[in-house]
Amino acid sequence: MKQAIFNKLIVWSVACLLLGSCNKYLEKPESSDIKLEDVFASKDRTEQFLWSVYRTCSIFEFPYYWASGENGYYHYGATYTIVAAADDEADAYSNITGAEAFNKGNWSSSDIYWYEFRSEFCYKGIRNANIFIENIDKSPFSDAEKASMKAEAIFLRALMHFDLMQRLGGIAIVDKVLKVSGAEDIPEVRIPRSTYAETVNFIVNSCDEAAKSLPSSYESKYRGRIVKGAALALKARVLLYAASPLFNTSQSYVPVGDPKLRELIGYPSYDPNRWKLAADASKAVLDWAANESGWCELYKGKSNAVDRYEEIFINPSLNEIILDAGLMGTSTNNYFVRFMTPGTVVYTGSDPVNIGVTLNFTKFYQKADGTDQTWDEKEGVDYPYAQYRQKLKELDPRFQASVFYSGEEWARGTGTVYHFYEQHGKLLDAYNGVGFLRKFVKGVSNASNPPPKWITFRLAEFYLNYAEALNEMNGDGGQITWALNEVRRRVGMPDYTYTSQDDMRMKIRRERGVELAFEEHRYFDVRRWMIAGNEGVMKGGMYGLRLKGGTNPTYRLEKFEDRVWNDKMYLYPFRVSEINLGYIQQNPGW
Amino acid sequence: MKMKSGLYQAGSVIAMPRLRIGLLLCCGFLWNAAYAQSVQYDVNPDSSVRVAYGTLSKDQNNAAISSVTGSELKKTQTATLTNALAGKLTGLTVTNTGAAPGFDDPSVLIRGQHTSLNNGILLIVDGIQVNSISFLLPDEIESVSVLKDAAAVAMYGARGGNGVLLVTTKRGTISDKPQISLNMRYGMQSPTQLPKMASSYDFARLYNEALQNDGLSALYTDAQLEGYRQKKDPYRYPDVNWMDEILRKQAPIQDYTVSFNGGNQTAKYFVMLGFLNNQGLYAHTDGEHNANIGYNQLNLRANLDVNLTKTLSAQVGIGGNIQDRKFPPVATATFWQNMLSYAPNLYPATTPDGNITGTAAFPSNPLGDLLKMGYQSRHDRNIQMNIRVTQQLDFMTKGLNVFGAVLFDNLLQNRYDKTRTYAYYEPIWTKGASGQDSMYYLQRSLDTDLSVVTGGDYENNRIIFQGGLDYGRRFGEHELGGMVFFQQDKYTVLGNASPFAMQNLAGRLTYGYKDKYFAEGVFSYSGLENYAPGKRFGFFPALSAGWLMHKESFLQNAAWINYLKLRASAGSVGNDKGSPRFNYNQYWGVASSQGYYFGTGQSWYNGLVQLAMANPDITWERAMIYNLGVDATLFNSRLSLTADLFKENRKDILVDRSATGSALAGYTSGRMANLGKVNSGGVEIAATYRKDAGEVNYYLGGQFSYAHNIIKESWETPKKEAYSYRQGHPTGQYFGLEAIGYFKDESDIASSPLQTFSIVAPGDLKYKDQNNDGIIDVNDQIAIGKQNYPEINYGFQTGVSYKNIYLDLFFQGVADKSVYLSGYLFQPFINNANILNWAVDGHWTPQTQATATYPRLTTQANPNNYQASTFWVRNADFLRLRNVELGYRLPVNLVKRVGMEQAKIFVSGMNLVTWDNLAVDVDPEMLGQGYPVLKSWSAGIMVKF
Repeated sequence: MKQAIFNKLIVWSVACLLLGSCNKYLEKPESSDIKLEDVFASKDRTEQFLWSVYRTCSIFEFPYYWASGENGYYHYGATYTIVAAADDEADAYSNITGAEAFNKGNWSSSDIYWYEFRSEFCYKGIRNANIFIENIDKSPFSDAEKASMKAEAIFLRALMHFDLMQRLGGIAIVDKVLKVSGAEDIPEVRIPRSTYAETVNFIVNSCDEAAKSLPSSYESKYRGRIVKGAALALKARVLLYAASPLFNTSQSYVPVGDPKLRELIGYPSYDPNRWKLAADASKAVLDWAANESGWCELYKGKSNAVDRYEEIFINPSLNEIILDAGLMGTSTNNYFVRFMTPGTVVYTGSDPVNIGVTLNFTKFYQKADGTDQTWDEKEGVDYPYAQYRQKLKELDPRFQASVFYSGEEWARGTGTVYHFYEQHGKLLDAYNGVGFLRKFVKGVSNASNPPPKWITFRLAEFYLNYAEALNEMNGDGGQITWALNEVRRRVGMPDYTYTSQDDMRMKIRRERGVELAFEEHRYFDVRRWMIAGNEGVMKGGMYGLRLKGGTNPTYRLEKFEDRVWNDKMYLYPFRVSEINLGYIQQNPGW
Repeated sequence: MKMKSGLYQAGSVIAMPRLRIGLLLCCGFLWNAAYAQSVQYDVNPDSSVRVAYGTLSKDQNNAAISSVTGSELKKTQTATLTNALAGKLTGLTVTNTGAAPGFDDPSVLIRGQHTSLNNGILLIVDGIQVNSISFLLPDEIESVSVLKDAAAVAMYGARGGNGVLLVTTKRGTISDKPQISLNMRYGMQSPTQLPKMASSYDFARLYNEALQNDGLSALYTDAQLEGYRQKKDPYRYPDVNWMDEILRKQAPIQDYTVSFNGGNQTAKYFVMLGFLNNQGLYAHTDGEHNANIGYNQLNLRANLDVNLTKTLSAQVGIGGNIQDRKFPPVATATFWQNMLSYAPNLYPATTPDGNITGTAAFPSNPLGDLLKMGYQSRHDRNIQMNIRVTQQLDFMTKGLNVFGAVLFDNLLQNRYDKTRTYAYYEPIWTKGASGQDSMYYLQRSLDTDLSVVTGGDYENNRIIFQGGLDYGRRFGEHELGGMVFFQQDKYTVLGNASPFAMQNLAGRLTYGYKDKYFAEGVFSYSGLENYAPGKRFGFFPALSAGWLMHKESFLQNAAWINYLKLRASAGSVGNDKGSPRFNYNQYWGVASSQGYYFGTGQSWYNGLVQLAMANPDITWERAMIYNLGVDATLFNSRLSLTADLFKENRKDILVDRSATGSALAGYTSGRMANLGKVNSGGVEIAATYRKDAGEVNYYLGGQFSYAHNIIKESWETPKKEAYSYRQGHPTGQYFGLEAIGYFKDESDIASSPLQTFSIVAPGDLKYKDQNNDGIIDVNDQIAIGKQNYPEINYGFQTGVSYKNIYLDLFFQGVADKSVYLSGYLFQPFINNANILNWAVDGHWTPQTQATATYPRLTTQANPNNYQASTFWVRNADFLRLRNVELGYRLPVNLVKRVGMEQAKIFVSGMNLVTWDNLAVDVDPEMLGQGYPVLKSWSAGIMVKF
């Protein structure tokens, strides 16, 4: 009897295990877990997922910092400063920044990700976009809504590809969700680089496809979502880059023997028609703004040109802005004031980064009357401080709005601030250049002011893109000066008249520098124009005006740095960890 | 250095590296042993060995298992059983984590670390897996065994790979009459060491110095400094040592047990009732609405063995305990931080009227937090039961049994808190009308009524069903034994919908030939709920062999060899600890941090993200363990010796593949893959020499364990310098900068590589530029010191008895370990924190730079100086006089007269002396932060009827 019971027990136990009759013993019970199918079964969750696509596919934070490092989600900034500090626009005084590595020329494939750019964050965004694109059709939205939302994701995916392309050339195009098994990257993940031409085409085609379904505006609670103009804008910028000397040439920036590699870093030959494509695409943005958008225009509010220009960067909802991201409001981020504002004004802690605007760049600003300022200072000579004030005071309103130099007020009524370097001696007043960066940060008065929103596209750029492309294709001089003067008139600068292609090229590039200063344009412009290696741009002597306090204050010309440039730097290297996986071909010279 | 004594020298010699020393140690014992006699220390209680799911004879067992008896553990009076294990068992590392009553749960490693992930071991009490063994009393324990090699742990499947601590409780023995034992102990505990903090005068004086170093103006005037120096006005110039205000010198601990043991052929029983009371170090807590930290524990153990019929027997075990904890309603770590870091001149501890002081910036006056905030309490009810029935099946075949068992463990915990806020008074100094200083107290916050919070209920539950066959029979020279069983184990935590579940089909086969040659095979075919269908089950086998050499004819003439056994084992084990739950499924979640701003009103829209990347192939860690051992008894059984040599190759350790995987996949973190590898190996030796004869007896023994590991594959983020990789170093290896002194002056700074962490000044730490790039940054961090756990654990004991008096001494030590001095205690003046006398005496000034032992003082965060570096990472080797016991056994004829069988009285001490190499006056295990490590003096009585 008892034996029988025990025998039963054993038989039951073994049978249970071997036959799997009670395998649910090891099954996970029902729970409230969300799986992929649950995401796209609900409108709310589908939308929430789209917001994550936005988050990971945009320059969400003001790009001065990539905060959480290895685990961060911030894409850019030259580590603790803006990338403008890594070209001739500016310099970060503190040596903790990523710009320092660029300026010293000691960055490489094994540490690039410390200094500016983490491609994996782009691909994280691309992954999210692809998941969305592949699954949106399962959602309960209407067909029109689906098409529009899918277009947003297609645009954002293209934007991330462009972000990679402008640094790396032809890149791996990822247009589907890559399956990742934990143990091994299965072969489909190891996608080789596409050629430069293919990458451009992918982005342009994405923009065209997205533009078909994107609206030109949203109800006000959704301001900031992707409009049709953004797709046109990205296309225009991509085509301008593609037509530029770095890529549109038979002569690569460093000698390349391997024809395959040659096609990865640019077009193998020059084609003037690329300028036409660029010009048309830029004009399409201007036309969309004027005729189709119903709202997009150059900002012309405020009575004073300085305030007007300044307003663009500190007002969160101007009609000039086609795409921006982030928050302008009430969060707290002490790093922002440390990295972005002058150490004398807002930030009170140690080791402020202190971004100074170089004399090299200050020279691009004309006097307000449209003539050039005289910069005849010699090294080793002390000049009266009043002359420093006078010279800077005479410059373009955009300089006044962008640079905080000694003797100015930080905010109206808060009192004059002096930046004498030698009188105080301590780091607080130490900066390189003629004055501190003020653009973007004018509104910041204490440590709890958050970064301003970051503008990805604003309309002014496309006047300048149009002028540049038209000039390069030797197009209509009237159109060229019209586009240029639209931008100049807005800040009260005198009109240009057409001279010659070469002269206009210099004027257009100068205007672009001034109008789009510190907005992450010039860093890439000096590359695509292939002038980064010129003396005083990303190479050689960088100058500032150093102030000395006392009873008779003076200033003197000071070369604060000799920067190092190597032509291989026209394109970034891929991270060595990616190269080591064997499917990515490294850019030349790295 | 703490104690310039001969013992210190011995301590540091022993703390020196490696195996050589271990051998020396043991040889030393052997040599000394010639003069020694032994009485008490039991390495092996009897000839049987507790093994996984059973018991084997010492001859049969080929596995690496060390064990200690409950009575041996009784010698250390500590409220936490785990603490008593330190140094007693080879292969075991026990690390103090602070002795706060009720919260003292030391961390335990077996054979060091094996994996870069989770080295948690498996704890088994009478066949049931538990979360802690702290609640057991030594008097209910027969033995604690450490199962170390594959032969010992393979039957636990994927749960046993990091080693198993097996606790077996006492059972009844056959006796003519019931045996009753009474144990009583009472002790007084005090910290081994408390940090010595600066007085107000030193604090203020040096704060000024630090400000000056920072280029800031002084905070304290000369008049104030003079006031602090003179200490005449405790309200104007307070000089509060918060530890003196809060702590009492000693805290009592007491435990009492009574046990009954007896039985006959039909039934045997063991019953123990125990009570433990452990009080904390906080003073003035006798009021109704406050509480010292304190712990009460009531234990019951009842084990019953009954022969129901001739062939049917049952074993029933019940273990229960009640744990009651009461403590002030402030986190212990925070409370100690405030006590240690609140500046002595902040405010007087109370106003002259006895009200609690405080300021807006420093509102948590420790005295107020202790006395005015009420208390919290926690009540745990824990019960374990096991019932096992065995039926002999001799009618089928001789030696065959079938058995079934049900085991369960249940813990219920709830809270009862009575808390409130309290008013505190800030002293405000003003100038009176006559220019005279005057002061008043500004009331901040309010006294509120006590509010009661109950609940916080927590419950967990484990149920195990077991059934199987076992067999044992002798055929002439062949001895055959074996068992096979199936077990289901489900662990449920209330509120968590997904229980932990395991199914295990396990078995053992033993074979002996001529009582000389023994072979054993064990296996587990087991499955865990945490893995994908199809990936849940694994097979874990181990083989072992033993050879009793002393029975061979060629050793028959070696009379000095009484017992000599060689053992060898090899097998495959698993470790599932550290696997994320249900990682084989891909989950998604709403993320409030991953949304976006839209709209002119900049509204926030939550995002929804893919959570940790699923890995459908995820599995447990796998290790091959090889073990060679020898057991010997020599010289008329006076010397017993056990030694083991092991090697382990572990693979399939989970690593986050995202750092090294293709970025294209777009997944930046949480891609877990079974790719890591760690190899480990080591040696363990235990020896005891004993001689029991005549009036004077001695014993002498020691245990030595060394375990070392190397990370073979770690899949790290690419690093700039080859020396930055953790791979090739042990797990837990410290990394940091190499401090090469202090900056002498500005020209020294100018001529040195640029240190990028913060602006440096003379007196700041100067680091070596490892890669000679002219910049000191994270790329100059190298492996420094050792790892954060010891590679060497050792203990040695000696005892002497003369007639009825005995004295036992036990020393415990660790070596090859580093600690990182960081946190508030070592970074003075940040947030006005007080400064250790160590830094007061040793800090750098231009005058003392030749002899400075601490950098210049600063009030800033100073990222430069507080980088992990060789300055802060220090040798943590230590040796403790863990135990001393002096006892007297009352003469048997005397005690018999009053009806007793035995009686003894004793006094004992724990942690009385500690020798270390830290050069800072803090305990080498707790580093002065948090509730301290304790030492104690106890007295007790043991009576048997």
